Amino acid sequence: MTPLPTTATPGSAPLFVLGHHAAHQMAGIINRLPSLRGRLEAHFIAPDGDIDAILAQPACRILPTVQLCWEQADVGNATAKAEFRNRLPRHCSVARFPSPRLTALWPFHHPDPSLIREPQLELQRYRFVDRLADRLADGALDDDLLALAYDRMAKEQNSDLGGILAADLAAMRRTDDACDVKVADFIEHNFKRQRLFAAPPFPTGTVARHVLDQLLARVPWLSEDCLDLVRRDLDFLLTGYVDRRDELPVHPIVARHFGLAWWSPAIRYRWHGNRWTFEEYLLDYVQRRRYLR
Amino acid sequence: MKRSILIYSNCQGEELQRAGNCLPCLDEHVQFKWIPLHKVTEPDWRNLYGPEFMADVAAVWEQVEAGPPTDHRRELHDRIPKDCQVVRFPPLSALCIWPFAGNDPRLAADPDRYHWSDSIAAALASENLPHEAAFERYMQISTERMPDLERRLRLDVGRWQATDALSDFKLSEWVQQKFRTTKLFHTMGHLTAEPTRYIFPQLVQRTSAVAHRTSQSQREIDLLLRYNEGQDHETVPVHPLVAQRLQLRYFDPDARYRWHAHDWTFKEYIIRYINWATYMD
Repeated sequence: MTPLPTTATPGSAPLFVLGHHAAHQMAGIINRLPSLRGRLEAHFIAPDGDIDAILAQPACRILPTVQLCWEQADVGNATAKAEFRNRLPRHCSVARFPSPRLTALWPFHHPDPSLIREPQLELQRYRFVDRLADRLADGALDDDLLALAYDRMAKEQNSDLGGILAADLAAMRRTDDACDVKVADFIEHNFKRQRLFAAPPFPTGTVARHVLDQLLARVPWLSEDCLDLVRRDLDFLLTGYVDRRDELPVHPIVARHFGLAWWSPAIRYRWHGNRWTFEEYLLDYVQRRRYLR
Repeated sequence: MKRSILIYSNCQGEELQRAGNCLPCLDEHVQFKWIPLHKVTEPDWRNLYGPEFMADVAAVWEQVEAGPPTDHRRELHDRIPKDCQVVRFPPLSALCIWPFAGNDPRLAADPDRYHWSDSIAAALASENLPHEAAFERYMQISTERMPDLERRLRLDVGRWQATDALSDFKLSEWVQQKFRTTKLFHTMGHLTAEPTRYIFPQLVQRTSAVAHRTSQSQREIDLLLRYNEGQDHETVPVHPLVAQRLQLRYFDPDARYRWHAHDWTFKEYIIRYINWATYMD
């Protein structure tokens, strides 16, 4: 498939997309849209390391000619990003987009990466820490009892899911305030109807699309007619787009509490090379079973 | 020193290697290495597969091919340790499930976009029809030109039997018993996890260095692969009429098929194939 470009194509306005996975994904989407060919060309830049490390990336060779920069908030080196912004040409227009997180669907997830067991493995088998499941890890329960014990613990937690969601949304709104495109309202209104997150830090393509629509609407030289074509191309390109292979299963009591329309008791979640139910994931997580990527 | 089992095979061997290296019961005894027979080059033998690579090989799982041995296969035989055991196993492929595989001139310039060709969809590309009309036309032409699939199946069975005859165990009967009820193929040559789950213990059982672990490895591979999707990076949708004619009972008309970063229906795939549409990786 087409790699992201590192040199400018004559006639296309160069766009920098600065950030992590979401930015790389966005740059890939832009460069696959026929209606933007010859109009806009995205170049991905990772905002990691110091300013010299950022400027050493091949895409930065076209820095003097870049016309737009879309910057993913809350990722990378903030100081270096600020410095990078100062190096952009005067005519370059910058727009910031957020990195939303949703924890309310995974209330037993612990965000501290130091709690990941098997830190010696470069690619951790289970990168999301489940604090309830970890309590069961040292016991000698059979699989059936283990699943029952987890369910009992989950119920006993009596988590304030509404409160967690409110905190998530408040955090998103704070980030929205510092960004040019907004996601909090969209997520609040749609997360029950559509699957918007694969795991706490991983918004799905549906959120990416919402962000892209706003970013593209801010491009001054794209007419409304052109944007209509772009939206049609996006519909076509993003049909069936699932992106990630690490979907963190949602506990049934959480799904039922929120009334998630996309959830069913038999739902299988993609976990690298596998399709697991919540319970199957749980058992393999607790036992630290190996799986195929 | 931990010894190796060397798998000489097409990409189906990579699945055996990945699965083998995940099994706790074999972990202390062996590791699995793979030489991709479809990709190996002459410099690879010098640079990657020299005496050091071969030194710890205790056994070779060699996927057979019809026809005379290639230079690469001879190279393998010259290089493996003299005392190592060779267990031969058949490759698997199913042409009858995708009967329109054939010429698509676009592949010459862009061989990777839609690697699994469809000659009817290719012919429609130049008509520039709207998506719905293109799909309707595809269904019409493909229905009219649907070949005798039972005959195609007999040809596949003939190929399976031919490679069975060169191997230390046979797959043809197992495939014939299974393929209508269980999905075994994602593409003509890419497999679901089910064949790997069957083949792996057959190989272990016949390999002296690990045969004592046969029943344990059977249990572990069942657990490892029970919900595994196999080689699902590119899965080519099955034509509904093919499913009907071949009586593929696992077929679901609403099924979504993984294609890189997408899950597409048959119709969504065909429309994109006709348009040679780009997609997300």
